[in-house]
Amino acid sequence: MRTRILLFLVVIFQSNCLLGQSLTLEYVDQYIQMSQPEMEFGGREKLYVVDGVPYDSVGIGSKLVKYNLDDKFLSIDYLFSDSISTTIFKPNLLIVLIHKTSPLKLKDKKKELQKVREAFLSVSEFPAFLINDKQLSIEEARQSLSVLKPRSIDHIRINKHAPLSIYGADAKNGLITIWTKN
Amino acid sequence: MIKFYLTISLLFISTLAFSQKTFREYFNEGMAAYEAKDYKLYLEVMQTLDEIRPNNPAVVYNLAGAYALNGRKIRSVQRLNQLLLMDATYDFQQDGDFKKIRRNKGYDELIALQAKLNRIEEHDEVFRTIDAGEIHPESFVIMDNGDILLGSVREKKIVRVDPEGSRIDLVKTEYAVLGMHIDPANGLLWAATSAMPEMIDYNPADKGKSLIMQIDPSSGVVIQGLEYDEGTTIGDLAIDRESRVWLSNSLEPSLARSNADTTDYTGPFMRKQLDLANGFFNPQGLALNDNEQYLYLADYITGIHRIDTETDDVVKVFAPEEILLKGIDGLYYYENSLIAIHNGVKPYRVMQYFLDETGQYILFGRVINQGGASLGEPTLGQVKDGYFYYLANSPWIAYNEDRELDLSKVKPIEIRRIKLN
Repeated sequence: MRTRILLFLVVIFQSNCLLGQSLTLEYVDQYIQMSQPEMEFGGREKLYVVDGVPYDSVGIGSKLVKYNLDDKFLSIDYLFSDSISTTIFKPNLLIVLIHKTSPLKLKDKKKELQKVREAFLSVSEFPAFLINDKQLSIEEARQSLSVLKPRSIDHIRINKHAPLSIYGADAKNGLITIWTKN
Repeated sequence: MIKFYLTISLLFISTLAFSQKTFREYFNEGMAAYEAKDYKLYLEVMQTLDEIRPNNPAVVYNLAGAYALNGRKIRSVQRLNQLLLMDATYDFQQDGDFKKIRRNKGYDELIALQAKLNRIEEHDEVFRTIDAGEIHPESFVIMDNGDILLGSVREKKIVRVDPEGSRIDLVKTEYAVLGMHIDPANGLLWAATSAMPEMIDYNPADKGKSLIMQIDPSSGVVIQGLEYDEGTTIGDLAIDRESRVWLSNSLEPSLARSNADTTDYTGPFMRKQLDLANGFFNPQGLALNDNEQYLYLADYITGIHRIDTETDDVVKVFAPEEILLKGIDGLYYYENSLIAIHNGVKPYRVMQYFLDETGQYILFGRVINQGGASLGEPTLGQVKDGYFYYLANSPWIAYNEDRELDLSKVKPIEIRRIKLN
């Protein structure tokens, strides 16, 4: 049953992508659910954060319209409140983060690239890796990272979660996306 | 287009790291290109100025206009977004240079952002009002017994005010009192004092001098001091668990850590010095995280940076697009969040920023106070017993051109607070 629901979500998700529509709350929720299928998503208390501004599920709808689903710099990720503070937020609150990936200065690109390279030194737990929208295997990723120069990077994004059904099992360790200037 | 020559001229005075002539020449070149309708050159010059002096409202405004005139609409909208986060009072809608971007999707969002930033939000409350504006407090410390210590810029002293409002002079200081903190290990007060033109009997020869004082807050006895004879205006300090004092210098960007392990008043101290000349302009607030692995430093121009206290590695703290970490004076840490007092933006705002697990990325912020009637010029604060307290109206605005305090413009000092949990 769970497999069927997931398949249904993937179909909706992918068809939405093709349509180039504005981002919706439904899409965001599906995206998160596909990133962690075992999570009981529906009844969980959530806080949506759009470009650094928090909203509850009632107020968020109109704030998503400005994002196009086909915007390659759109980033959706999440975390649980316990990981950042145990006293300020309600326990186990799901914090959903939506924003556009920002351009970086060269020195920051260097530091982010170093962080990505370190992630790929891991023996077993490496994230899914995309460069210019092409997903690479672990060996291809390592090879690509070894020759990549910070100066040639246009944008770089590190997500802690991504839909497993789209990016594969490695996405359980996160998703790294790099766009080069060319 | 409305050009902001006045702001630029003020900028020349404060841009110490770069040649005044070079900056002026650049700006004049840009304006000449604009007048000649050479918009390509105009853009190039404004891009250069933005590299030299980031986050300057006048430069960013011109840069946004230059992008628009060159048909680069998205960039123009992005720069206007940046501008509004610094100064939401710019009337860009009347400027013909932005005609080409008015139909852009992001333009309506800019108008909405401007309205949002100009909306008054007050989620805090008045804690104490103290009739002490004439001494020009910049900082304060709330003691466990309810007394409040006020650090005076104008009268170079620290006063103690009891809960009934009675005031006594606790200690005279050498210079204007800026940041103050209590060392939790021993209950002693540390005060950063620096020579400022606004203080009584200011001698220009003292420019760049600072004295960091350790004081017994119950008796006012000065225990020891750290002297800096040149190139300093030390605006804030932080005390670590080993009672070492971290100091931010805004005059010549640097950060120092001193071991306060001597009883000599002006004796030698073991100092650790981080030269921040590259990429920093005006270091202000300091805040250690709970385990003291990281020290957060607010640069008034470039935002918040995180320093690894072991390795000295400095990284920028990143924030989402709708958060600009500019113009921060006081900076405080509480439960993986940073509380920032922005007095270098319009309107003034006090914000709490929530960090991710790594402590390098701000996830989101919440407004504590934005544009509230009390915010004369908010400066410094204190986290105590689950509350954040801050001084809401330090009377910097009441000085005239000769740096004399106009008492008719001075209001009672207001300390506001918000519960953090």
